Amino acid sequence: MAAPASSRTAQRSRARVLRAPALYGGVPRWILAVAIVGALFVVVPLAGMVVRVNWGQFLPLITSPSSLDALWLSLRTSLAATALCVVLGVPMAIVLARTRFWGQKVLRSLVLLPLVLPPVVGGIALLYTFGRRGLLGQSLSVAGIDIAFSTTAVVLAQTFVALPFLVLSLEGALRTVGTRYEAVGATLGAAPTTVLRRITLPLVLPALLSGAVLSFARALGEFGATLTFAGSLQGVTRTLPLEIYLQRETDPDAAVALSLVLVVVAIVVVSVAHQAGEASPLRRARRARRDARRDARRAETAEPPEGAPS
Amino acid sequence: MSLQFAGRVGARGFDVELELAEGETVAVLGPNGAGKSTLLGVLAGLLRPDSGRAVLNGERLFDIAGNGRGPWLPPHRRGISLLAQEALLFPHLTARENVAFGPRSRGRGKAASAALAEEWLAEVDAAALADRRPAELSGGQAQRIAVARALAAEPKLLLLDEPMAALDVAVAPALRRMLRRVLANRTTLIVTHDILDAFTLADRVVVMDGGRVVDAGPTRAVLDRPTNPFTAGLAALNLLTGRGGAAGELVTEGGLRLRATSETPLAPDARAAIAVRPAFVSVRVAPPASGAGLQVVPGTVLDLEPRGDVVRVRTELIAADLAPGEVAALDLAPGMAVWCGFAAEQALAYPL
Repeated sequence: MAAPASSRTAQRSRARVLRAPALYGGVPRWILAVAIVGALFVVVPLAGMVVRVNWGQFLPLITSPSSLDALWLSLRTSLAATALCVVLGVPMAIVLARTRFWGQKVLRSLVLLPLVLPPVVGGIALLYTFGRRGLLGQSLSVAGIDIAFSTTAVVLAQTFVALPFLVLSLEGALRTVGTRYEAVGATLGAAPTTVLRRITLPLVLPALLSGAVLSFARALGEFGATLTFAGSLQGVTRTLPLEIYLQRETDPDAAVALSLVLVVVAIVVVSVAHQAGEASPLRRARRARRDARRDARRAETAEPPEGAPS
Repeated sequence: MSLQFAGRVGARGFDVELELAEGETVAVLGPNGAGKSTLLGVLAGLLRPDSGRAVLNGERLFDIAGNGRGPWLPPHRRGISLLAQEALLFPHLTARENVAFGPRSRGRGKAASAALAEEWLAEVDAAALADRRPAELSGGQAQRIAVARALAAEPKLLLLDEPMAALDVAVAPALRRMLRRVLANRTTLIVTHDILDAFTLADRVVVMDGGRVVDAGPTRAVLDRPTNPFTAGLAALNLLTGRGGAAGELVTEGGLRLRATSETPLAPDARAAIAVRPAFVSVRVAPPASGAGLQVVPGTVLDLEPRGDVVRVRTELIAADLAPGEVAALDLAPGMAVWCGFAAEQALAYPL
């Protein structure tokens, strides 16, 4: 039993060392040229910004009281918004992926609307809903709760724009995983909530993580809806993007330094999301099955006959 | 009766009634699309029938009237485990956690469930694999653990959906042996299109075609004495039908008079059949001399189909399995007139 298993891993690592033979790709050269232009279009501006960084003053610039306030506020609100996205988005994704009802397509389009809506419009919508004279805000105001232009408003604005990212990535993963494992769980006697907790969520955990990371990134970068709905009050509603925008007028060096901080955060976020996607148990199983199929015959014959005590 | 079932699914043309005795293993045979998987889905609660009624051990599974309304138990409250072609082990759990899933879901403690899982893993000879993840198991190993997982849930009824179909031919016999051991005295419904499964595992068979039951009865009775061409095909037998003649022989619709062994002489003019294996049928290209004791069925070669080490020669009424050398020696080709023959001792005659 141990022998074929170790030889299998040995084979796999050898395959990793050997370079895959070059296959005919069939990519026209001009495609390559345009692709390079596109890549430069993304990379050069970043370089342009990095060149402008005042490295001597970098630390003092990003640790000034207003910068720290903005950074801290951004982190707090983005985390809160991400949590809210998970709490609201997981049930939404499950309902969209697992049930069928009249008007589902319309509902999905509406839920994903913030993805394509200009954030300012989102902010206006939120203002006329939760604002002091808004749809719900009036009753809330009577109850002594004022949301607009508070830190809560920042979180709501961020959640509004970030929610579709989580719903979208989780719904896709739920559809990919399918319902077969859930059906097996149910026939083994697991109630729907048990199936959700012990089968569905673990299977889509990587997508949930990457969706949450994307939501966090979107929340962190939120500008338009926040400015419209929450305003720009230092320490209360002035998040990092707002701070950068304001500083650009008075202290470009600070704006550039803080921008670099956001770029670094973004790079970390993207790589974490990518890693999470690769760690999917299903994908791992599929990969392993591919390997197993390759040397299945050998493994089956090397192992003691099925049924014999091993 | 342990299970009484009647269900109809209009969209799939499915309309089946079925009963299972306590501890009985019944094989459901039939081609793809016969409705076998629909039957399992309706029983397991994964598919809601348009109408029907099912009772398992006195508990009502569903009772749906013609208007589609009525009580219907969700799958997790039925006590019916389903084992599919693929093992479908939960990829994020170890083998032990997979097997313990059923007991855990039914409210057993963590330690008790783990202990039960160990027991069932030992029962399927997979104790050494307890800590492996599904990705580290071969197809046969995974299927063994899936059997343990299905049984650890202590089902009142076990459903097996072609459990051997996705396995290597080298592994299937061992799993079949193991299943025979663990299925003894367990109420089980096994869907298969392999009659070997039916012979080794089942007390009774139900033959389905086009969403309906076309034949049912004890395994040997149904498969040794098929009553319709469809079951005969499954059992790989030639079926010649007709009526009893004056001297106990079978008279086919075409007027052929054929003899075969029979327990009771065929009653004159009653519907009867003869079953004979293609391997026992010989083929000649000229009419054989009469009185050789050979039962002769003349015909034309319709096609020649290589099947492993034999070639199946099909004619209008009967098929013969010949060695490739024989086919070559006779220079058989579609359209040729041939005379197929079999010995009366190697064929079975029975009333229909």
